[in-house]
Amino acid sequence: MTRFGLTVAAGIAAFAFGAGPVEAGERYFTYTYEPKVLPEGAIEFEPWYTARIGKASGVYNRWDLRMELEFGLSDWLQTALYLNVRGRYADGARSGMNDEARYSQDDTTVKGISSEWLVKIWDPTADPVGLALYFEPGYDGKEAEWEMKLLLGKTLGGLTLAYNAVFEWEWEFEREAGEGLEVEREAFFFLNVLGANVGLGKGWRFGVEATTRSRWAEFTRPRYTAVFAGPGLHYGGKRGWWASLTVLAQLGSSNPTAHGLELSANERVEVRLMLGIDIPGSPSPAPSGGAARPPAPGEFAPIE
Amino acid sequence: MTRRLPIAVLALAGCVGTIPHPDERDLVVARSLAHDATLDRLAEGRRLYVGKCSSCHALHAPRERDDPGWRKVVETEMAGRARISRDEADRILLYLCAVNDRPSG
Repeated sequence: MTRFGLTVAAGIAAFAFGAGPVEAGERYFTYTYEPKVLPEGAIEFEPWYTARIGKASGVYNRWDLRMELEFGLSDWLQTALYLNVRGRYADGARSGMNDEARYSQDDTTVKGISSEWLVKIWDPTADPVGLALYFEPGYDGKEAEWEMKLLLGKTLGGLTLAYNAVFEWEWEFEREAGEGLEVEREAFFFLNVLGANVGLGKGWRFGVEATTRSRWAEFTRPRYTAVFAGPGLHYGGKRGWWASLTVLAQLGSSNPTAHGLELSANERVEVRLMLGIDIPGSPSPAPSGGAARPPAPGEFAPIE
Repeated sequence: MTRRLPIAVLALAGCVGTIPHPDERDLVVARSLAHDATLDRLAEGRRLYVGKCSSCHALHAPRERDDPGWRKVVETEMAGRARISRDEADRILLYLCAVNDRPSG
């Protein structure tokens, strides 16, 4: 076959087998972000479900559902829009062993919207260390949140390592009669989040995630620090979707309320499931069968 | 010992798993493949390779494939899936085929 014939055949093959949607970036972790972005032009739907289970005593189940639509804007920038929903069921729950008050609750609340912006600076494979910055403002009418993350990561063959330093600033508002919104409470959180996982083959990955969460009333010293860790499982590699699951158990706290754990603002166990579903048909910057055109004189010629 | 650990980790990360930046040695190879090759064009090829490919999967080191191997992967397998135009594929291939002869390490 001539060079031209080979090039045409390659182009036809590329068009026939490669014209599907852009494969989106899979998230191997559910708590830890990697310093990478979605391909330019790709759109992905990512529902998150987090169950938070167990207080000091009684029954307590809370769930958070985040419906995320993620957009790849360039090879260094992505954005996303979230709709946040929270549900809670409590029956005689107590935050601390010495608490007199038991509470019962059964409600579901829309917790507003958030907007994510992720800027990749260094790549986790191409550069010595991957680096990205993450910003996420959120608002629900009563509360506002500003979240910033420094994302570090490294991919070494089948091993993926990632670390996030997270700073969150929350404000709760109250509407005063005739005076508009006033800040009633503000809180700061600092989190260290660490993840490591390894490929097992056939699209499966296994790993661990760990996090420390500190709440600060002022910038003097933390009110508490709680430590969580647990295993994670990921399945992907299929074109079009992936899934990740992590189970975190609270291991201890600097200011425990019961059983050596901080169970006022946190729970004993968290389970997070994330799905990623590619949305096809997003605009293509170039025709997918572009390789069919034979190289012009002076262009990078095929190597014999 | 504790203070040296982060430095050792960073040094290890710096030595392992990076995608090389093109230099004058690579330009000599590149000019045997395309007479109008320049260092800027090679650097653009690296930028496109990293930007287009690392969003979906870990990057392969250039030395993992020979020239026909890279041509097959970029032009027939990935051009459509990653929406790489003809011009972008040329630049990526020029970079990969120029640096894949480098000795490892």
